[in-house]
Amino acid sequence: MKEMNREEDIFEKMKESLLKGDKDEAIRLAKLSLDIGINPLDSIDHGLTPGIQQVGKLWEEGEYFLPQLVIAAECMKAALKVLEPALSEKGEKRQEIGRVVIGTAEGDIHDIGKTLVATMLSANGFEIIDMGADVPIIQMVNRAIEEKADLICISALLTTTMLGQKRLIELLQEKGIRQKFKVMVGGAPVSLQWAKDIQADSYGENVIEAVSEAKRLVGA
Amino acid sequence: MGIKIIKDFSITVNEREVLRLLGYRKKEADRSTLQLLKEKEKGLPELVSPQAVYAIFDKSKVDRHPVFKGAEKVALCICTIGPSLEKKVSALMKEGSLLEGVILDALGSEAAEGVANYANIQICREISPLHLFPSRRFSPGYGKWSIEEQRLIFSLLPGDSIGVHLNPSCMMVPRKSISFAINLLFHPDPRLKKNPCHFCQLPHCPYKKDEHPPLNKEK
Repeated sequence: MKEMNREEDIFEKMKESLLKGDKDEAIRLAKLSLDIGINPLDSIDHGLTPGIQQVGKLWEEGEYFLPQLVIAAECMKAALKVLEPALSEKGEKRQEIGRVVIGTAEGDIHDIGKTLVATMLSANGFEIIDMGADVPIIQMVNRAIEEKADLICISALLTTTMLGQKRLIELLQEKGIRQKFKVMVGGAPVSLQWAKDIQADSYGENVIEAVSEAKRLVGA
Repeated sequence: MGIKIIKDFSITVNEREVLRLLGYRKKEADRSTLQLLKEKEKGLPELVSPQAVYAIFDKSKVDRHPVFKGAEKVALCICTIGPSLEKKVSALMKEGSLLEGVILDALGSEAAEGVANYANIQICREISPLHLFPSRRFSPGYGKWSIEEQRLIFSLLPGDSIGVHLNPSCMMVPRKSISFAINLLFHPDPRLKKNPCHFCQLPHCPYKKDEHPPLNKEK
């Protein structure tokens, strides 16, 4: 019973460390959880994941802002860096809710928004293959095939490079593999109407919406 | 007046605007964010190299695009803070210091605005003897002026002289660069008092400035 309380206490503190954006504390708790024999998967499922989800909720409610979202993702990454090797040693793996190939369209060197989406997707249990910025469409499609991705996320910050999102979908159609992948688009000039026009599966207006839409698309 | 290149001037960064870019519109930022912002702001001079190139052209030199309607002359300008800051941001993001990267990137955007503000003032000073009135500055990619129109500006001004070039998508490299035009008019521009976001059609632009009533309700 005492052990159970201690575990729950650590999970609660892990959650708090994300809410407070305290990276050192998140790392300390991850190490402590391993030292006292808590299964790393339990720490992820009952401490870190509820923490990052709560941060997202507070952001949606207007209580938290971009910096809190970013630092929480940073905390989670740092804690996962401690927990994941222990998971591998046990021959276990964090449950992957979907595999995502993500990148910024060819000709567009904006990277930050896409990186934040990738980080939050990863924090929420997606396996991420981040191809960076200025990615040729053909390379994104080939990588999605190679990695057996569930979802392709393509960002564009310019009206000129938005066309890359359309071309990506056309290329999937030409290859006869459109149904194999869900496609989500995002970026400042992108709108729901544009996503509909080019027959994308979804559109993420912001980081949190991108995460919830990605979950919806993979049925998580 | 020929083409002018200005370098090594000091700029001011509007902290309020940086916070707005970080999402703080109505609420105050928390202490730790403000502290990190101040810290990064102190390091800005080492990462920012303000430069601008500009010239004033006769209306016949620019095309007949509606954005130049009513202009007697048009001032065109390209300005930049150089590539160092964005290299630093990329390095921070790569090493997982996301918050530092995001804050520095927002500071870089505002620093670029600071360069544009400085160049804008220089242009206004130089047109003073011409007895013309400047419009607000406006840029390709906003409102009805498509981003492909960057090519017009870069065909008339040597971006290379300040290390700025266009990629095939008409995006400026380094990223923290701004190009703009100012219409020079015989009469003051009545639109001058309005927020430029008023004229833009992007529905969910994250950079949109303060809320404003729709055009048709304005007096």
